[in-house]
Amino acid sequence: MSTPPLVDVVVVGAGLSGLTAARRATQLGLTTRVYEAADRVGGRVWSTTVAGVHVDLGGTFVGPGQDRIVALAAEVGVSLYDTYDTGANVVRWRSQVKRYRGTVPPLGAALLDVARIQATIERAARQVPCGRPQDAPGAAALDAQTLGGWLRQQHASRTARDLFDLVSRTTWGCDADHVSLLHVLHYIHLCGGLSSMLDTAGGAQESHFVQGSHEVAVRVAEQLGDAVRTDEPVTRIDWDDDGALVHTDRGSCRARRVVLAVAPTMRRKIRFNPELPAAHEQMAQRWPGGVLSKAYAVYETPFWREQGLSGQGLSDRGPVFITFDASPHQSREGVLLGFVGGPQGRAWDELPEAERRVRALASFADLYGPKALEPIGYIDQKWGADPWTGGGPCAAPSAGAVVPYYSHLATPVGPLHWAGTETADRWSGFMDGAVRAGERAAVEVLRSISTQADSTQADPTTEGAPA
Amino acid sequence: MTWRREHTELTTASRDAVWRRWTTASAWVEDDPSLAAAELPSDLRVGSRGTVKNHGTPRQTITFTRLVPGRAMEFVINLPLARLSFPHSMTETEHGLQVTHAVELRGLLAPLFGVLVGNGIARGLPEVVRLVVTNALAERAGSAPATAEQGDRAGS
Repeated sequence: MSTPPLVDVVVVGAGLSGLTAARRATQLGLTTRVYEAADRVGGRVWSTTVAGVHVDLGGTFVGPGQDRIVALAAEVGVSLYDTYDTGANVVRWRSQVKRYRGTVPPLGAALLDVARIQATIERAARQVPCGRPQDAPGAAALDAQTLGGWLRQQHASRTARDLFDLVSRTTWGCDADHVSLLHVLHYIHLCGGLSSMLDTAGGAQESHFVQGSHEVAVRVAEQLGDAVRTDEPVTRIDWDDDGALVHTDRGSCRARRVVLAVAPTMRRKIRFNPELPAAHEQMAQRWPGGVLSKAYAVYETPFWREQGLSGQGLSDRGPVFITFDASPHQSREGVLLGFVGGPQGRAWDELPEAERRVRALASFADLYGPKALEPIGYIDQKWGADPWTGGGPCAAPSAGAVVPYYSHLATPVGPLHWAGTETADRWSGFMDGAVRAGERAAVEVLRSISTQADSTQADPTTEGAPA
Repeated sequence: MTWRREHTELTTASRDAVWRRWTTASAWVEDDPSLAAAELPSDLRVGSRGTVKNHGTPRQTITFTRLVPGRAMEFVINLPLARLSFPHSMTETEHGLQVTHAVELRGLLAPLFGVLVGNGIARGLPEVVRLVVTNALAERAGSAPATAEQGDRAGS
């Protein structure tokens, strides 16, 4: 039986974070191998072609401050274009359809209350230290409640609560009643505030990639060449302080260090020998992925633009509750992107494809008129049903799951290091966070290997052989 | 004086399956989370009477006023100086079957009852219509009916 090959770093997961970690590790002179369970790279970024038009099925937008993903994209030749943002937005709220400008829809007297809640959240978010939410003043109390519970405690109006439910569904893939308030505040702080997180112009939805976000992952994987193994889930990792033996169904690979670039909940799919500290297992259980789906309808033209509409819409009716104009760059076709999530999203995910299509198109028609019922192409992506990403768009820890477990997200265990957007110190939950986390993990691994090498040289009794 | 609210869903469910949900007492309880019980006569016809009981309220008598198989159904509940009716209709379109449930109040006290009971019923309409069409689809597929937990509670 031959000895398994040895590399400096095995990366588990070929999403943007894992690929970035492998790319940066390679640039730092380390040998790498990347194992990806799915039959494609990209993780939570993916794309396809519908009626000849490119659509991003996963992570789509980037904005100011997200300089790491933008830099990576530029390095591999993927360019940006602005999200269409001209004209009026549209909202369907309490059975009425209205046009509006800006981020906050015209909700009558409730608007003052929405502004009050937004200001209170922004203030509270600034008190949560980036990367150390457990050290925030009153962290345990903040973590003990959900965003929804806190909104009720603040006597937020029904409209404000419903609006923040939509924000919660889009951002964490769950309703406000299901996500820790401390996590919400920390997440907002990592984004630089609510406006930065939610806005199109000047915010995180400002731009798209011309070739698609998935193309960034594809091109990085191409650079890594044979080091990337898709359709090869890691089943077990034997580890000790010196290194690890990483097993898949096709074989094993020895590594000085391992970077696990998978969503927190997906860490449970791998057997560790010896087992990880108990808090890691608990964290993986209590940081589940959200449930968010995306529906794309491709039209002969972006007909809503002719009506003076931007394609950005909001609806309390569902199943689609937020829309964007995701039309390709310099193309005659129009594309409407709709987000489906929350309890209604879970029910929608269960429906047959034809019914999902009809209901999504009916939602588009609610906002943009009957022409929306006549696309030339349609596709949807149910991230909650994806077997290897653990849901989407990112983890949604419930009340009480941040203070005890946050520190375990990214703290190495022996030779095991952690990446993935959830571990990022800025823009966690976004593509930018994924890239930042991958870069951090690569540097962390290099330092760890260098430190080990130094101590091995200093101590001639140490063999220095990996597991 | 008329007060009316309605909700429409577009669906791939069949007319027959939706019609069965509209005319089967056990389906009413599955499709409307606010209902604790429903009793309908087996040979439904215009003028037939049944009973419905919402959670935490007394049983009420309903009277069917319109039954057009595969198209429309309506029943009413008589209130003091007002009549509460529930028109149901479905229309085949080129994009799918449009299923509409409405709540309507007529009479002198219609505006008052609209505020007292109509708004609450109207808020629940989206969930009910979605459950009706989802369970009609499930009937075709032979799976178990959806429940309020699986469906959307936001409208209730």
